[in-house]
Amino acid sequence: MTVTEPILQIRDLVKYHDTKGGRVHAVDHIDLDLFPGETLGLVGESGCGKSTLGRTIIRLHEPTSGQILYRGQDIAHLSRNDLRPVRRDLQIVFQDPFASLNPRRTVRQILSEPFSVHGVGTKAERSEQVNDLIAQVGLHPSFAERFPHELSGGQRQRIAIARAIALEPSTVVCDEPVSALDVSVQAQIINLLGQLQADMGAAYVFISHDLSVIGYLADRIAVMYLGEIVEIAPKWALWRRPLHPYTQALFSAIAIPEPPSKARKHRIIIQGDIPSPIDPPSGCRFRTRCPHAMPICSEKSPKLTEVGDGAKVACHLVNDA
Amino acid sequence: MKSAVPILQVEGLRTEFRNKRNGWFPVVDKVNFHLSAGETLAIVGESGCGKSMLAHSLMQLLPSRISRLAGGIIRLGDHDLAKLSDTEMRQVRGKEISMVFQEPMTSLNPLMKVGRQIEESILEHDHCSAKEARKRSIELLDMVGIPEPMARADQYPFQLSGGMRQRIVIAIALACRPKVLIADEPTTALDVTIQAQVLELIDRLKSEIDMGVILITHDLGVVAEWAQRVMVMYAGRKVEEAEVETFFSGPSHPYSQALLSSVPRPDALIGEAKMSQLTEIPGTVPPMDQLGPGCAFAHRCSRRTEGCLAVIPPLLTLPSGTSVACIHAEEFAHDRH
Repeated sequence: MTVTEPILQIRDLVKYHDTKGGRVHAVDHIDLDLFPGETLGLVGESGCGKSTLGRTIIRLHEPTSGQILYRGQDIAHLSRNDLRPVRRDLQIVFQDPFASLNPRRTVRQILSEPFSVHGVGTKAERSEQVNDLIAQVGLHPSFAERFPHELSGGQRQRIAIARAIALEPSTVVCDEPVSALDVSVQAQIINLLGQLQADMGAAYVFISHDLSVIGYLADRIAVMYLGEIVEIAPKWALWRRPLHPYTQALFSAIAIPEPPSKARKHRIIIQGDIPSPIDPPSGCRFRTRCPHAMPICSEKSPKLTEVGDGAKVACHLVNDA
Repeated sequence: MKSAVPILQVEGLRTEFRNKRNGWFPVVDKVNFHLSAGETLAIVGESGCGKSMLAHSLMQLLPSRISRLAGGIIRLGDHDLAKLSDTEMRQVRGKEISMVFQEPMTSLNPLMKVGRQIEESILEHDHCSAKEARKRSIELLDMVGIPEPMARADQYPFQLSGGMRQRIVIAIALACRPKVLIADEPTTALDVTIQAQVLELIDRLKSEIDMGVILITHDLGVVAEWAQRVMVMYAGRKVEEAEVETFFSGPSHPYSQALLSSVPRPDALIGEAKMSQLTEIPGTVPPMDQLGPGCAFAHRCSRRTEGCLAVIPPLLTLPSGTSVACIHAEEFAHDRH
């Protein structure tokens, strides 16, 4: 669709967590491209590895294996020191702004940190930069001297966003940034993120379990299940014609606030629970819950394959048809 | 369904909390509604608007000393729950009116096998033999869609997934086939595909047991899909009540309208057009001990006039059957047509 080079190219990325219960296959051989200025939605149920993937691609987790090419440079195994210049370009906003802001620091101290850590500007300039940031996220200048506990959830999330965008990063991972907020506040934060993106041109990796939010914000959507991407496509293609049975079930589970007389009538409710990521099913990982499972699904794991319209799907039903 | 006799009738309900200065202030005030068998009534609003307090008032599960039921009638069958003593209420709670909470792990006893927890609820209300209770608990597990109910009955909550646990909580709540089930954000802690399973389960059991369901949720999509009527609360009061079809075709209260248009719609934009901004509701729900004399929503409302600040707007009934507490509701309804 675009001829621009991706800023992030993820190749065969693997991240396992070793726990007492065994090895968690959180991210299992994932390929992914992120283009400048786009919003890539990452959706899936708990335990599917979406947060681990989001954190690994900006090197908050050490990958087990694979490549993370940032503007062509492999950062997957860079040392802390070598990574530092790249860090300012790769930022994250977490779900719980209470846990991600230091309670003993004022907003001004929190927002000065990115500048001082990366040696941007002089001390005198910093105060001005912080004031600008606070204005950019729509807060009153007086907030600079407040502590996180004096702020509401929405205001705290604004500060967390201000910190992430302080150094005008090329990529921001948004890990469920609105899930802890009330709808009215959620709308404020979603609008703010949209506006900042229009101003700065940063690419977002937007992680959420809420398909309404993802569907609203994202340009492309990647659907994850048990550590793998099962389908990735432009939003409109996914909305119009989801191909993977899991995507179909996820999309039909979205409850849309509209009069029942206008509602879509078909609803696919998939049965059963998500299997453990410690011991994922053989072959296709979704086969234990899939209404269309065939013998081949337990034998061979389907590869993510191009199907046109910029969409890729990993399903024997689609790929071998 | 339309002419059904209500099984639950609530009139003038008022619940108060005590603040630091020992004054009592209402967290639920002048709430009227009814519920029929086989019907789902959704209660919506932001956090702090009083929807959970309303549910806890109906169940008489308010924290003692700092809160009290200050007035109103809660008619369920032959009882007025508001007048029952603690001992009498124990006979009713779990038998005729039950509740399912948001987080299933905190409402289950982690040290007791799940089968036993269901039996406990049966034995508390029906004086049957332990053997009979065991048999019924396994039937209940089967009814809520738990595979291999015999084996599962002997497991502890930690051995079950979140969706399974919520099914157990539902089984306990339904053990005595109550007339009314209150589900307080029953699926908020669950994954999307599991959410759909649990809501479908509640909907199916509603018809099987012929009970009424009060569904408390912040998710308007869930309301549209699973409820027949919706009641919007703001600052402890009912501001709108409508049939779901009417409500989602265009709500009447400015707060309901703002709530609905602040929800991101995944289907709103498919294609190349510019994404439209979501409606933001400025400010937050005011603390209920600091309410002014007028409409509690006025200071966040885009249609505020002088009159809004003077008196609390009474509930009006519109021709559509919707009741709404906004002095401008009739002009707006008129404008729309």
